[in-house]
Order: sequence, then structure tokens, then C-alpha cells
Amino acid sequence: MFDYQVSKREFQNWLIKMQEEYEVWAPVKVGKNYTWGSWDGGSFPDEDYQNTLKPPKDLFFPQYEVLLKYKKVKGKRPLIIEPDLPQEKRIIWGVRPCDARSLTILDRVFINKDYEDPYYSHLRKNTVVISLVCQKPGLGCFCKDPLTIEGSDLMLLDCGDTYLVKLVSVKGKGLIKNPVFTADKPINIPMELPANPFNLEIADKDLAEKLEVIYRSPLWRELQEKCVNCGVCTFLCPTCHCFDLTDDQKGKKVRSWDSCMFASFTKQASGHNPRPTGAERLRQRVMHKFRYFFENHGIFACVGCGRCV
Amino acid sequence: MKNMQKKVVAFLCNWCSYAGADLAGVSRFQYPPHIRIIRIPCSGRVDPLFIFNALKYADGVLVAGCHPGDCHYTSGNLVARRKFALIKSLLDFIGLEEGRVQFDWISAAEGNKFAEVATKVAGEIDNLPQWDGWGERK
Amino acid sequence: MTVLENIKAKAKELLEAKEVEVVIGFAQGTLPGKCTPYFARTTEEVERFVWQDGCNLNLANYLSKFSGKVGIIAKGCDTRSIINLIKENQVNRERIYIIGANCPSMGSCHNCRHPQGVIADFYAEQVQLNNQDDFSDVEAFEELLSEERKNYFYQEMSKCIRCYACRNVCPACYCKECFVEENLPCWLGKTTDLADNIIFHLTRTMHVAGRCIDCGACVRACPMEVNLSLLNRKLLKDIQELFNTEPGLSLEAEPVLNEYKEDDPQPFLIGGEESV
Repeated sequence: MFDYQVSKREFQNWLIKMQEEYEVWAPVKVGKNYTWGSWDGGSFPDEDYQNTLKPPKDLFFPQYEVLLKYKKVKGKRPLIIEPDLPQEKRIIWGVRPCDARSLTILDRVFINKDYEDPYYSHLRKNTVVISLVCQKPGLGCFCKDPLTIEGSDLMLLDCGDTYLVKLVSVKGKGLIKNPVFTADKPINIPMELPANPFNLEIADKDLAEKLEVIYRSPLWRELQEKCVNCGVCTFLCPTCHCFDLTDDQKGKKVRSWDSCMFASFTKQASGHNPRPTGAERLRQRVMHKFRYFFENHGIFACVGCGRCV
Repeated sequence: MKNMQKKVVAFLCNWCSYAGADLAGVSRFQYPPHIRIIRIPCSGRVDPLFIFNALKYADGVLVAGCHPGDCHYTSGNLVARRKFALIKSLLDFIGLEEGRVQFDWISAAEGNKFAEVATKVAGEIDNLPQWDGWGERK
Repeated sequence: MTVLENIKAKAKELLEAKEVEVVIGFAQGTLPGKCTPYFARTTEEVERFVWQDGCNLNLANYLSKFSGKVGIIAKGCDTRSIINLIKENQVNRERIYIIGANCPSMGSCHNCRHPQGVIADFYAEQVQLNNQDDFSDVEAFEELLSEERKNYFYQEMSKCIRCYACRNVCPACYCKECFVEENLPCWLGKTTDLADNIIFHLTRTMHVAGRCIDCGACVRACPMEVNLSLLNRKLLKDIQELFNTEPGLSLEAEPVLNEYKEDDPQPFLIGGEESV
């Protein structure tokens, strides 16, 4: 059920008005592919837009982030300078529902009852997510529900000249004060949306138990034979969140993306590596996403976006 | 002074060009102070990484070694020759200004040549447009 | 018999005679038009081999993963990589059995000069194809003004996300510790800043110079479609012009940056070419 119908022209004007207060991010076409960039005020994603190359996790959990700076002070303890958290309010629109849902999975990692990561949560609080429903599945897609509202604040459905708009969250509702958004009754989806192309049930509740059984199987060695441990799967995955904390040369403590696919991810100072070959690392990635995360949080750390495929 | 802010990193081989620079100093041949010298055992030790990395922080690079045939390690500079040709060609290909990275052979007895080359290279780099450090500075 | 049947027959023969423990080849991939590397250990598994458009990965990269005797179905670029690996003592010639065949995936590499195997223990087909590579793409780029070249280069480099896929699929990149992972000294930051990206790619290009045979694996592996082939092919062209040689063609020739000649050209010198 959608709540409003607006013409694309009205939506564009509304978004341009929003740009006065918010930074607006959208999928920007570079060559043949789309990446996240500043919205130019005019372009809309083409018909061939399936998904961006990189997920929007960059916008909340940057690849390289300075956590704090420190300076030596003679005779005293070092001076610690916390960086100013970015104050801009942002709107990101054109996010696919799977990617929007991935944000709720990242939320479980960074914002939980034990600890709230200030850098991530600040960016999350200041950002409104407007998702755009897919017209057709991509080649590698295997999401369970193409209409999932998790993670979105507003959801759009492209109907040619108009967008159907669905209110999802309080934050989204706060944006829609513009008289452009009027409706007197809920609107049904006018067309048939294609179903999952693979017809697979990946969210099998027993998956976690099955994975426990095959932990020692030689299957892992076979599967990883062709894997070159490049790490691209972790870079492009919207839910992968492992990071490394290091000190940069100029007195900065930084957090940067790391990948369990790299051999040095678990290399210890003694030289011992508990995951010496790719087989252990591939197994670790699958286990983390479908067993450990499930046991800790009750959901799989995978949204079916298909980028790894 | 504008010139003082520009830096040129010079990779000099220990046996010839570094000794040549030393001789220039002892003989009081003047050369610009913004040449910063790094002593390496042989010009063959120069990994392309050194040059590219130096450009992140400096405005230019000079690499100097023994004359071919005079290498203290016999063939270090001969092997380096091929690398240098490729490095120069690659840098030119990607649009780096001519004169920002320069190579020469300077022997231990050529103190005046070192001073001349250093002055010439520093002068040329000073006249080039402001370098952006591979996009680091604007 | 078709090429594929030849390949399968030979692979089965090798496995049955226990001359090799595994044969490396391609099988049908999960997405249309794509093939995936496949490691057959039994005659039943050999049946899954394919040899068609889409078989374009460089399989020589996998040789170091196996310690016993391996067979490999090698097209042109694979064989040249194997030659380079043998010359650099990374792979023992006696422990590999090369089944050579012409590359079935010509559409993806327009400039390929050697689609047929350069070295093989067994040729699965006799047709010899030979293209002429004129490096016209490199020359076209060289025609541009230096400002335009710099802008294009910076733009391409800003796309890079430093995933190192290019390095990992390259058969020439086999260092146990890559220069990007070194901590003492720390050459490159972990950022995806333009400067770090540029230094990474320029250095990697120079490190594989003379050993890169333009198989295109790096270009295909890159998730952001950075134009890596431009850099590698520029050096291939230079090596052809300056030193009159092509890497990976013969087992006897020294790697081009390992050797030197008395009259090597010196176009890089201050004041131009000087006589030695």
C-alpha cells in the first residue's frame, strides 16, 4: 500500500527545495555504472539502473575514518583531539530496498545495548533514506522480499511519469510537510512486480544448524580452490563491517576497512595464523554471515543484493 | 621565499654521485638548498616506488648514479637503465610535466657537474606549475 | 574430434595414468556467458569441462596453489604466464603438464597477439592464429595533450577502491608480502585517497613490467572498471620499441628487466641521449 502519488517533476522540485537544507546523494552514472555521488538536481536513474557498484555503507561507515587525533605534549600526557562529527543533514535516495535493509543489519553491530558507535550513529541519525523499488531483478539478485521496508524512511515506486510514495518512518513523515504530497486514500501497486528469479529460499531457519554440522567438511577446500582471496566480496557487500584500527603517521587513530579474506587478517604477532589457507577464510565468511550472526542477532547478515555473485 | 617551499628529492648512489655531491660541497660549488639528498648504495636500488612516493611529498625527483661501466657493483646501473627508461616513459604518458623527474650519471670526480645538474634541475622544477602531490594538495 | 573432446580425452588419460593429481580448466559458470575455474580430479569430473566464450581467466595463477603434479588447460596467455613463472623459479617445469589450445574467448581481448599456446606438452588443436597488435589504443592516448592525459588518469584512479583484486588475480603478482602490506616502512596509507591509489597502480605497473603479458585478468577482476590495461599496454609497447622483445615467449630468453645490453637506449637522461 502506498500513501501518495506525485509526478516526477513535483518530486524533483521538492528534492531541489530539500537541497537547501540537506545534502542530497543519489546514484550517479559514471561510464556504464552507477556510484554514489552528489545529486545534480536533475538526473534520475535510467531504465537500465539496477544497482550501484558499491553499496551505500560507505556513506555511514567510511572506508577510512579518523577516529581521533593526538599530539605529543612535552612533559605531559598526549593531547587527544576528537574530530568534529559532520553536522550536515543528508538525504540519500535511489537506494534499493536490499541496501536499505542492510543498514538495519549494520545497526545491530554498531548500535546495540552494550555500545553505541558515535561516528556511525551520528551519520545514521542525520540521514534520511529514500529507497526505490526494483522494476526487475538483477542477474545475481537473490533477496527474499523486493518490497521490504526495513531501513527505509520513504519508499518510492517508479510508475513511468509518477512516483508512488510510501511513508515508512517518523523521520520520513517529518519530511513530507510539502503540499505536493496529498492523497485521500491508500494506493495499490498498479503493476505486477517480478518475483525472485532464482526462486531460492536462502533464509532457511535451519541453515545455522546445518552449517555447524559441515564445519569440518572437505567442501570448504573444494569451494575455495578457485578463490583468490582478493576481498572484493567484502568490499562490495552491504553488510560486511570488519575493520582495522591503526595509527597513522601523523598522530591519527584511524579505522579502515579490513577483510577476512586477506591472509593477514588473523595473522598474529608470533607469526601464527589460525586461518592459514583460503579454505578457513571462506568458511569463516560464510559462517559469520549465516551462523554466528544468526546466533547472536537472529537474522542473517546477508540481504541478497547479489554483488558478490 | 617561494623557492624555499619547494623540495626536490635526490636519490644519489653512494659510490659515485653522492661522493660527487660531497666533492661539490668541499669545493664550495654552490647549489640550491632545496635539494634533499637520500643516499642509496647503488642506482640499481631505486625501486619505482621510491620515485612515485617521493612525488607525494616533494615537487621533483633527481636520480643519479655511476656512469654505465663504472658501477661499483658492476652492473647495478646497467639494470637500472632499463627501469629508468620505462619509469620516465610511464610518467610522461600519464601527463606528468616534463622535467619533474630527472635522471643523470654523475661520477665521484664531477663535483662541478653535480652542482650544475642540481642547479639546473632545481631551477626547472621551480619554474614548473605548482605540483599537486598526486592530488594531495591543491 | 572437437577441441573440447581432445582436451577431455587427454585430461582423462592423464588422471587415469596418475600422471597428474588434478587438471585445471573451466566449467560452466552460474551466470550466463561466464565460465568458472574448475579443478577436475576424476574422469567423471573431467566431463564438466567446457571450452567456449567466457573462458578468459588466467589459470596460471592457480599453479602455485597445488604442490603435486598438475595438468592445466592453457590458452595463449596462460602459457606465456607459465613460461614467466618457470623462468622466475616459481613453478617447476617437470610438475606441470600443459594441454595447449587456442583461446575460445577472443571477443574479450581485442589486441591479443598470441591466442594459441606458446608452449605445451600436448596441443588439442592445430590451428595457429596470429593477430597483429598495433597498440593503436595506446598511441591514440599518447596523441592527447598532457593535461588531458593527466585528467583522464586522475579520474580513473579516483574510481579505485583498493580492493587488490587486480593484484590477486595476476599470475605475476606472487610476492608473499606485497609492498602495500609493508609496515616498516609504511609506503602506502590505507586510504582510498587519489595519491595512494596513483602510487599503488603506478608501482604495481612497474613491478610487473616486463612480466605482464596483457592477459586482461586485472581488468576483468576490477569491480569499478578502472582502465588498467592502458598502463600495462603502454609498458608493453615501450618494451617492444626500446628493447625489441616481448615477454613470455621463450623459456631461454632472460626476463627483459633482468638483463642489460651495452647499448641500451637512454632517452631518460638530462640533455637527452648520451653515448655511454
